[in-house]
Amino acid sequence: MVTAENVSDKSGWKALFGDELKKNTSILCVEDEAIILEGLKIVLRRRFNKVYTATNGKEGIELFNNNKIDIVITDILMPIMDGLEMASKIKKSSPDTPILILSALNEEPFLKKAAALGLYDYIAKPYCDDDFFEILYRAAFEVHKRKNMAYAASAGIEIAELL
Amino acid sequence: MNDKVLIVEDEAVLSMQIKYELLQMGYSVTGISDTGEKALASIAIEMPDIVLMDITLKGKLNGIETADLIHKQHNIPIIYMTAHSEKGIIEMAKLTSPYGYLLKPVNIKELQITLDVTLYKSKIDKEKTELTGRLLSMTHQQHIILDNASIGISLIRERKFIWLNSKLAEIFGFTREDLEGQNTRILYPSQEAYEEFGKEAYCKLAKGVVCSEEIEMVRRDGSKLWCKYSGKAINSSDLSIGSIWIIEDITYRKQIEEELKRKNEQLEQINKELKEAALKEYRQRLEKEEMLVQQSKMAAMGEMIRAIAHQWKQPLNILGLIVQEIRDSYEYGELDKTQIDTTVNESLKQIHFMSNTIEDFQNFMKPDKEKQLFSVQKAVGEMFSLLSAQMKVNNISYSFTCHIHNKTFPETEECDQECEQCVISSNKNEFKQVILNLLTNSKDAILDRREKGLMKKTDEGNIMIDLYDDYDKIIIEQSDNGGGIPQEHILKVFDTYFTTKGTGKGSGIGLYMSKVIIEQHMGGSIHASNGEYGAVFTVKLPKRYF
Ligand SMILES: Nc1ncnc2c1ncn2[C@@H]1O[C@H](COP(=O)(O)OP(=O)(O)O)[C@@H](O)[C@H]1O
Ligand SMILES: [Mg+2]
Repeated sequence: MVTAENVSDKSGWKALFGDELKKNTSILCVEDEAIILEGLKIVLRRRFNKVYTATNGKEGIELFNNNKIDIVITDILMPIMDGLEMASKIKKSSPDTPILILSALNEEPFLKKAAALGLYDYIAKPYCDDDFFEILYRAAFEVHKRKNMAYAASAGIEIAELL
Repeated sequence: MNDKVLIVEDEAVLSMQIKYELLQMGYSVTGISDTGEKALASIAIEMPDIVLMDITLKGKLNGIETADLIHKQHNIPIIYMTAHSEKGIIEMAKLTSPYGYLLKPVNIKELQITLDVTLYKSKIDKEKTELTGRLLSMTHQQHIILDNASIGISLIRERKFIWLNSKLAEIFGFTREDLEGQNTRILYPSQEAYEEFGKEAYCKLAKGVVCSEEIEMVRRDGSKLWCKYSGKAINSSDLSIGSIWIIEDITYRKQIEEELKRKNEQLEQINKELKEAALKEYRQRLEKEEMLVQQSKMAAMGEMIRAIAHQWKQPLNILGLIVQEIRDSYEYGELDKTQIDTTVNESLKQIHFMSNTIEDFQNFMKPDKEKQLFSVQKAVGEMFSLLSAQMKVNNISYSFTCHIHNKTFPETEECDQECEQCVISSNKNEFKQVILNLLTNSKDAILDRREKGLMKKTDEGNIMIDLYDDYDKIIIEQSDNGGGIPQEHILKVFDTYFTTKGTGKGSGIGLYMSKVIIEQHMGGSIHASNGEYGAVFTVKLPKRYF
């Protein structure tokens, strides 16, 4: 079984984060390389509740709009609509959704654009290592924290109590 | 013609008798004068060849006085006839240099002999005088010639001027009189110079050779001048006779020579400077060229690394996922032999791909100075496959058509047999660098066009390379749909550092270097033009360029 203990705990979120939380998180993967997308799907499915896949930005936006998606992982350079364009569209409709950029292109212009869009994090490849998952888990944790806060606010519970 | 005689005799009988005898002897008589005065008058009318003169005469002048007057005015031989034989009178008469004496009474035989001898002597004397005159006038002429010669001439004995012509004196600002008898020392600038020249000159004179020397001398006013001396001893075994010297003022010539020398030196200096400047410029150009080569290599390397990043992106991602999945499978207890096998095979495939890419890169960066035979088609194909991932990720499709073999890549796999038609001998990597430059420029043009919104992001970019065979040439035509080169730039794109790309993006040496490689290293040509959708670069290469 994959548990939080299997991955490193660099920021102390492990104790607060269980399998349940992961199982409640849904992820959208956008990548134009079919073989990579397939591999990502296999790896992510073992960890998250639901993994949606798209091969370009346009497909990705459709999926995002029609499904309950917590986290977006996207490649930058893709045909039809690139990752950054898609990300900026998603940010408009859902500013809190963490969007992770996957790219081998460690290049200034992309980094700057990504930063300008306020994107969650930028992951240099190769991914699927521990750092990759740590970033992903932290994003999931924050999504849930926000959800719980919203819930608590509506239920009148102190945040401190929740934590 | 009879020789004419004048008789000067105051004794009429005697004179008549002599006249008679003379006529008998075959002489003619110009007259008989009884006084000196009459004799002189007669001579003035008709010149006799000889005068018979009595010493005692009637008039004021006696014979000796008359003879003296005649002698002074004319060159007529005189024979005295006298009764005097005293020593005193004879001595007096001698002073008038008479030809003979006849003592009275005159012996006819004696008269005849004396006349004959006198006439003969006088003829000889006349000839002598004439010769002497001629000689004198000749000497005079020679003197004039020597004196007016445009060179100085002198006779020097024991270093003193015995004789010199006016020119020589003039050269030194003296008159002939100033210098005659003078020591030559006054013409030398110093005692040392005087002595040194003397030693040398006398050594040569003694050998009987011409002593020729150019030395600096001084004029009367102290100014310096250059002279050429040529001297020869009159008799080399006896230098005391003297030597003849010819002296020329060569100051002007020397000045010209000096000037010429100076001009030559200046010219040499200028030449040297020019040569140095040319050499320096040549070196600088070489250095610049070297720098450009380095820069273009660096730029090419940059492009290659970018290409590798793209090439490796996929295999790296795949490997990352594969490795993760093995662990996951194991955790879930799903790992079996089949999965391990497929995983290993897939991993090796990716690893091979990566290693091929890096090998291509290494080969490309390898400095190959040697020319080699290679297929243009293959070289272009290799470059294309290295850039394939980058092209794909940028949504640029590419096609490479070899019209020689009627094959198009990448649809058709690279043709394995190296075709004879498109083999050339050159530096393969340099050629690949050209192709890389062209492909990168096309890619940049397409991306730039998209960036500027002149082309939709989703519109596919196109790069095409066509290979043709043209008798002794191979033609490579590369075209794209990047919008082309503005007409005002088309002549400048091959210039060094010409770039329209932003700082940090373009170096502006890609096409310059491509031109150098194609034209200077491969003996071909490269040309830029605009096609329907974008730029067209045409490269022509001579086949088998050695
Ligand atoms: N295929 C092309 N389409 C349009 N412009 C081009 C093309 N190739 C070259 N150019 C122009 O020529 C210039 C010089 O190219 P190059 O010498 O390779 O330098 P760089 O690529 O570093 O700018 C480019 O900046 C560009 O303006
Ligand atoms: Mg270039």
